[in-house]
Amino acid sequence: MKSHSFSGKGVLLLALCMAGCAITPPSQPAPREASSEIRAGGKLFAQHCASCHGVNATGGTRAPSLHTPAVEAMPDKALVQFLTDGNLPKGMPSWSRLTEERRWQLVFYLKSLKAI
Amino acid sequence: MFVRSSILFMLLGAAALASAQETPYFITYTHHMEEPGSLEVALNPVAGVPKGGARHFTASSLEFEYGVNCWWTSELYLDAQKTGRDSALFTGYRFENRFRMLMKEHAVNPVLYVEYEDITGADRILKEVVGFDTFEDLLEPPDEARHEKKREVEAKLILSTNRKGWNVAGNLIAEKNLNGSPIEFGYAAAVSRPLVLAASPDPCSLCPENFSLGVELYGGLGEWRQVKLAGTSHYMAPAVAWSLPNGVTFKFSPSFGVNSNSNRALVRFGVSYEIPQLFR
Repeated sequence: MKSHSFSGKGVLLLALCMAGCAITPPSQPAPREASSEIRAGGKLFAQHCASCHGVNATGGTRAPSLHTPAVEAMPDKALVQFLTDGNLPKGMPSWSRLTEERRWQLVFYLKSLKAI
Repeated sequence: MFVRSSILFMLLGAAALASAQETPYFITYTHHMEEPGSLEVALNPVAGVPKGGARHFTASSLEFEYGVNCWWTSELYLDAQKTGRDSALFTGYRFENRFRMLMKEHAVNPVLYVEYEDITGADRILKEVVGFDTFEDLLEPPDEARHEKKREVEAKLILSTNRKGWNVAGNLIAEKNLNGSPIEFGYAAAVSRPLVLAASPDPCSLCPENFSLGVELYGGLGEWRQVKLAGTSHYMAPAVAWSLPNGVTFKFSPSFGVNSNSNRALVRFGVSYEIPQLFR
């Protein structure tokens, strides 16, 4: 009887363990590090911005360098808003076609640039 | 024979040219303008499955879209079609301009669209439905329909918004044939969203962030003094876009007729390529 009880508990424990294993949600992805957001922003920059601002954001004939104290000092939210609105009369297009998440990634990248 | 020639027609187009439009729409316009100085070249073939005895057809428009500046986009379309075993026909051109009316992003962003088109009755692009357009319009053989000239002016009010990754857009269309026919009205509405909102850190082509899904609804609204939904055709079109990092976008959208006046299906393909800063 005792042995039977033990065996029952063992089976119950094993079943609970298996059930626990089965219903445990997949581990949450680790929060994305700032560096991965910056890399994602760099990728977006290369796709959408580099043709005017230059591959290294150092500017070109059509758009200014982004390695400036003004970009460094601009609050993140203001920079996201600037990307959303653009400055249409002055030739900076609106990037509202990119999702807000991607505009934030661009801002992380821009903030990683050092003022020259 | 028809299927082979249709496939060849589409593949030739797909191989030749390619857009970097992130919304998957074919009919509905949003407030997103072409980047200033960039030229987008696109080929959008459509395969038609008509009814009422009309023959299957394949049509295609070659598009050149140029960003004049941040609030003005200009576009030229060259249309052609092939019906059954008939020879292919050039069916005319369209020239359009879109003007963004507000210089900043708002909850709803209006854009004014003005188009002049010089096409024939054999045009089968069916870029929009207006007036009392029905499947019966396609019953006339292209050889006869091509003698009918359509010089039309079209205006659209485009309203569009982006919210939490979603784009919602609506277009109200008014079209006037310069031969004196009454003004015809139509509509298009659409919603879409990228599969993933944030970009991944590494370059990728087949990742979910490059895909966008949506659905369009478009149809006619009758004409001046007879504005109504009845007596015209309406379509629903799920749509998908796949944008590659190199500026090429592929799109696909089968439109299904949702009432008895509509064609059975219009299967649209699109391939486009954006050339940045071409004339600057």
